[in-house]
Amino acid sequence: MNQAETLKRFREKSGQVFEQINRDMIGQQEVVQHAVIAMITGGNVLLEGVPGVGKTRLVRAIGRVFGLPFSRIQFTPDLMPSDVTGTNVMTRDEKGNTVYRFQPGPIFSNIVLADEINRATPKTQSALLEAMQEHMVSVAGVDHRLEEPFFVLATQNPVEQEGTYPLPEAQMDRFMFKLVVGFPTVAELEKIVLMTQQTMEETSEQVLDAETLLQMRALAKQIPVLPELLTYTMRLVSATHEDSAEKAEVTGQYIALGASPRACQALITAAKARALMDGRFNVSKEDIDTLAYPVLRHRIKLNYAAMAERKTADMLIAELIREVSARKR
Amino acid sequence: MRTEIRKALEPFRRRLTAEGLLQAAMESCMVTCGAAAVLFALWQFDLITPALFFCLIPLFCLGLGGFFILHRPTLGRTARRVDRTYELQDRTATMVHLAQDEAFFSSLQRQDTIEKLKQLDPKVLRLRFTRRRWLALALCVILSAAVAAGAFASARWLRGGEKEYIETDEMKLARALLQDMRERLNDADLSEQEREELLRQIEETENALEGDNFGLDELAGITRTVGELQSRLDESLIRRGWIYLLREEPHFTAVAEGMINEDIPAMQAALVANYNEVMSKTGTQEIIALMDLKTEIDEALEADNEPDDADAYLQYTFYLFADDMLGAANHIAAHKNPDSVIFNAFSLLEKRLISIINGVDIIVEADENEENIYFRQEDGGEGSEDGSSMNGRAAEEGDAEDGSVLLYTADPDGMHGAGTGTRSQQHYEESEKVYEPSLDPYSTAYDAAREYEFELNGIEIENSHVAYGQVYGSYYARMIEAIMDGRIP
Repeated sequence: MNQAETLKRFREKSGQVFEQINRDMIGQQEVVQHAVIAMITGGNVLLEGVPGVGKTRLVRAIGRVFGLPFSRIQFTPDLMPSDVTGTNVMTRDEKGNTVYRFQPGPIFSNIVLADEINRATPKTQSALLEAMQEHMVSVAGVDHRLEEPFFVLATQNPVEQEGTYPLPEAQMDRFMFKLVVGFPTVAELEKIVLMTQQTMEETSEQVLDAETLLQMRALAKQIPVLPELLTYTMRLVSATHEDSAEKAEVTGQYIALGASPRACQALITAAKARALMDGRFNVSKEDIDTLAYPVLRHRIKLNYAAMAERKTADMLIAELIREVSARKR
Repeated sequence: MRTEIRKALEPFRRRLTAEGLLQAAMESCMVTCGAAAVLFALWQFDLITPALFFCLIPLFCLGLGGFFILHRPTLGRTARRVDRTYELQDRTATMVHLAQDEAFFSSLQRQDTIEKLKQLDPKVLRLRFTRRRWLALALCVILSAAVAAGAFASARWLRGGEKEYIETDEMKLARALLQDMRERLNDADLSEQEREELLRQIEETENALEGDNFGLDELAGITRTVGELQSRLDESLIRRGWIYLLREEPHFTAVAEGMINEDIPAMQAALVANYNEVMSKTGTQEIIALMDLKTEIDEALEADNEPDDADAYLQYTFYLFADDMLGAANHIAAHKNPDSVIFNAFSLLEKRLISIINGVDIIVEADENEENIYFRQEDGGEGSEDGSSMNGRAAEEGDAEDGSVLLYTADPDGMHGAGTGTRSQQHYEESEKVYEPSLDPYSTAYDAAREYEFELNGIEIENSHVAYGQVYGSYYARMIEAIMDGRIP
């Protein structure tokens, strides 16, 4: 399928994707949009929200709409790495000989929901994170490649931090987005209750397939970006570093650690996908500013002064955008 | 392809061109107003000519062109402005940036953007003039108007309207000098022609001072004329001898008149008055004034081409007197009491003047080398055996063998002239030790009975002797009286 046809198909289907997802998800439009963007660009997502706000339901709906196999891993403190990646098991072949056969773990799926990732031990966490980075699993010295598209949505509960193992910054950086699933509004709650009173089943239908998704991914990468916007993006990320010439005023006050270069890559890649989904063939500043929040909020580490003054990452990102935008483009 | 883009952006670009021109005009106006304010300020102080104001026109045109180049709507600026105004999310800017790119998405993006631009109304793009720019323009205009108003107001006060006649100090001084010259003209020894010419110039200068059209240049010219007139008057006085200079001083005028009239008492009285005045004002300034007199005497000696013996001796007498007073000035400078020096100077002056009146000349002869001039006198009365001196003192080093007292020497390393303060002071100090002041004019302490005969160029004058003591005594009596009255400190 050539580019024009792919584009045409994308433009036709992108509206249907959201329509189908919204059949299972009430509200959370921004979260849904960003999750789809991450799907298209091949990025992984960290979902944070209190229990019962629809994190798992969202992942299921995305998997169904895109026609991708979905697996769920419930991370508990006793979960072993082999429980995630799979292991070699001893079995007998047709001749009755004892052989070792690799039994793939739940990670061998296109969409993996890693529920409460912060509850598992760092060792188990790293097994998943390694697979996220390399799209490959090594067991007993043998590499097993994961099928594309491979997409991990990890969740973590912002409460109940006792007995958990928070992800370190280096591993948080592997998630393209951190999406905060907020508590539904009263109107949304009403709809949710009415819907679930009728049926708890998920009714979304497949719209796209894996091949189309990969084509869309390749297509999104070709969206042009103005050099000015590229510079703006670099300045925005550099502004989070205290030793940078582009340092913002809030950086020295509240940010202990700035975002990595992966943030720049994530911003540009995601902005292209967003532009395409929006029916545009160019990245705009609005794309960058909108996506700065999910890209940066888990990549900047706040210091104690920010905690003491109850400054959130989103507040600081808003300040950074305001300050960098005010500078000459 | 680029043509297509230009065509799509042209309606918007036209509106932005008008905006750029107006902005350039505003900014050029600001610069021109600033330059006008500077020119008005300079014109107010007559530092420039009004013709320079015509330069403001090309300045405005130049500013208009220059600022328009800065504000001209390029494709890029137009694209960004359209994106901001119509919220096209950088579509137009991206299209302009990728104008030459033939990639799939670049072409797609370009087509999409052009389609969108065609649907837009260019009139929505409003011309933008910030409040700050308007305020700056208003301030520049107000500043320029204020400076111009000040310049015009002061110009009228200086040049226009009724002419005010202001008499400056320089004009008052010029008038006073001219009046003084009128008075001096009467006393100046000038030919009739010279007198009339100077009078005419004085009158012309006075008339010029009375005129209404009077500026600094005219005053400078009058001041120069007054100075020239003064110089000419001074030259005429000097030319005729220093005695006429002395006529300007009231006391010395009386001395001269006494001599001319051969009225010794009057002359003596004038000398006393002079002495009193000098003593009452004894200070460096007065002594130096007499030093200046010595200088004038020197010049007069040189200026007088053909003095006769009487003139020469008279001049020389006052030369010696001035030299004596120089000694007094030296005493003052050395923080010594100059009273005795001044007293001796006046005393010697009186004696010599009297001898002149009596027809004797004490400049008698020069030595063989004509370097030393002696006066000689005959001792007609009691006195020292070794000859006598005018002052009744013993012979001193340098005196001639026959007792003639050295009056003048050309040898700078030799003794001073007889009339120098040094010798006078020395004498007085010696006298002070020996003699005591006495009211008795015939006191033998002053050799009062001694008579001196003087010769005028070797010619013996009958009855030319004078009782020194008599003269000296009467003079000294008046001195004592003056001291007792407190007129002499």
